[in-house]
Amino acid sequence: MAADLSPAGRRKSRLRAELQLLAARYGTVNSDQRDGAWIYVPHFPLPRGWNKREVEILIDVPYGNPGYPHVPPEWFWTDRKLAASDGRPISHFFNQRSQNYRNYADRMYLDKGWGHFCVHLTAWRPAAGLRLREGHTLLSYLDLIATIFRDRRTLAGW
Amino acid sequence: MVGVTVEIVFTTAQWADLQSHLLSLGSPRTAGSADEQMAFIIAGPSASAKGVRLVVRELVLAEPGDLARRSSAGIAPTGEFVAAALTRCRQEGWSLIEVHSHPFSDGPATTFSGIDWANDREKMPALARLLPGNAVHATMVVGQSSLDAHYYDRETNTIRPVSRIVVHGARGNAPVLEWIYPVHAEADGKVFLDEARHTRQMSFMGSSAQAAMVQSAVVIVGLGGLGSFAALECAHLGIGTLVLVDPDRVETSNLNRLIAVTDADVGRAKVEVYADLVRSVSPQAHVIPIKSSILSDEALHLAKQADLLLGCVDSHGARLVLNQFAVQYGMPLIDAGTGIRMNGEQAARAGGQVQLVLPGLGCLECREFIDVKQAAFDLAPPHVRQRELEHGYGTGQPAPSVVFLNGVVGSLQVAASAMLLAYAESAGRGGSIAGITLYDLMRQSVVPASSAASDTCPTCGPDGITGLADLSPLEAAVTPPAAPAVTVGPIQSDA
Repeated sequence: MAADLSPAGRRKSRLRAELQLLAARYGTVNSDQRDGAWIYVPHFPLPRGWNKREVEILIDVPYGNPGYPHVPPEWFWTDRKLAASDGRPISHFFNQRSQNYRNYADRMYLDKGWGHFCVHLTAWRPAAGLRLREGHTLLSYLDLIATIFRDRRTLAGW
Repeated sequence: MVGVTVEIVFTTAQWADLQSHLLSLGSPRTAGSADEQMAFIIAGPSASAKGVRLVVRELVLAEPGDLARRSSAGIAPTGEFVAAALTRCRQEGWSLIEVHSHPFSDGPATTFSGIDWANDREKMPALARLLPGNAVHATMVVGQSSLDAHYYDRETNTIRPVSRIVVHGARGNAPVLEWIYPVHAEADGKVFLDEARHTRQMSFMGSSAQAAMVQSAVVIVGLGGLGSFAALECAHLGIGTLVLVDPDRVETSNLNRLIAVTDADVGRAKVEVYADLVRSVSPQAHVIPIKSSILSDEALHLAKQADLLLGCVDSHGARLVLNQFAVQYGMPLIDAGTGIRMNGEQAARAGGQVQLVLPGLGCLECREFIDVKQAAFDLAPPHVRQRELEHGYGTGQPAPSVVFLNGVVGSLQVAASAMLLAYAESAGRGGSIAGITLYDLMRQSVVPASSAASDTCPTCGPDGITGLADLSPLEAAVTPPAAPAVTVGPIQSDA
């Protein structure tokens, strides 16, 4: 089959390969079939300490060119009603509208029940081509998300 | 940048592999063989107002089974070999270059035989109909010490000479830029050398080096402290065409380091200020100011016509764009940056670096020089940047910057540029430029460092973007125009 070398075509091809890895870990996973601009993990398990056993995770995939995988994801979205079991606030988690509610992203997501976590990566060495186990991928990013949910510093007061 | 031209751009590794295959170099089995050999070259087209650069992606070397006939009198590929190359070009959009050797030709005038011409006259119009609209079909013949090349011009239905072969990369750790002219290349015309103006540097670098600089087009991205030095020094050197790219205007806080700028320039676009200054230094220079980011259509279009890119940016997003552009379009990039690290009110470290991005030397990504956190913010669509700023991210104090640090590093960058361009006309020989130059202001030291390519780099490695050119255009991420693109369930499952 001929390769689609357009930026969206290359990104979608990469995501198709990565989704195989994600599916092996998380079961069903979905991605944006049109632009390759997001992936969705419906059943992401949470450790103890949260008010849920699992959450949905939505990751914005950087879609310019340069975009993913050269540019890592910055934020991830999850259930707006996610809370710590003991009620402590969650650091870097935004489930309220910003002051400027005209903000496009807030309108897009918060009204649909999503809250967003800020994750700024400082090291990112993306896997080349289809040698996905030799570098960073969305699986690495989801591993980081799992670490955030395990890390007690995610909750205020630590 | 006058007239429509076609160039073919190789990496040094591709060029060495091609020559070795065509001329049986280093092969005991066929050493001394006078039989012709052939290969197909898959190349990405880079189209601009100047013409088309064919940026080589891959060599498809003919094996014995791919040849229907081979002797010292001629060579012919099998239909299957041709069909496979054509199909790939048709389906994916690549341009196709057919190359064969005349190993018996060891003089300076290797060119197509009468049989070659007859074949091309018959074959090229037919292939033009089979290839995608933007694809170019060229043929090349390579001898022991010279070559010739031509392409089919669809608009005029004629076969026209290829203007130049560009070979860029590294031999060992030494950066290489080499311009090779096919035997029947049309000359651009006489190059005017202003000897009265440049005599002192011509006695140092030579007249062919000066001619190379006069013929060169250099794009300077970023007209801050570094870019201001780069622009003016390029003007003094006599660079023929300078494209200046920066979206910003001069602010009062820039006056400590923008060389030659005055109070009266505050509020003017930086590129306009430096276009005027460059013209006042070098009236013969063709100066094009572009008041936009490098990701604008206009800036990218002009960058495709350049011979060299100078990165003088303080944004890691822009640096990532330049790095990708350089690898994807086969364009030498010399990136520079400065930094001052404070410890309280004292400068703990201060210095800068000049880095060449050329095939075989690695790139800014595999050197892990890109700050991915900053790049992700810089390259995010406007609505995401707005969200980040509203939540307190993406802001920061302006970094310290001083004119003398910019001056030293900017001059090191221009010195590397001059060396690279100067020796392009003399088979890439004679230069001795470091892949990376580190300047430590506190120690007053300049240290050259070598670099090497990484096989696992997603940009310049074997699975990277070399030669994709216009097939995967660079583009800014924009905010989706209408309803949210995100809908959660039911969505078709991929897995």
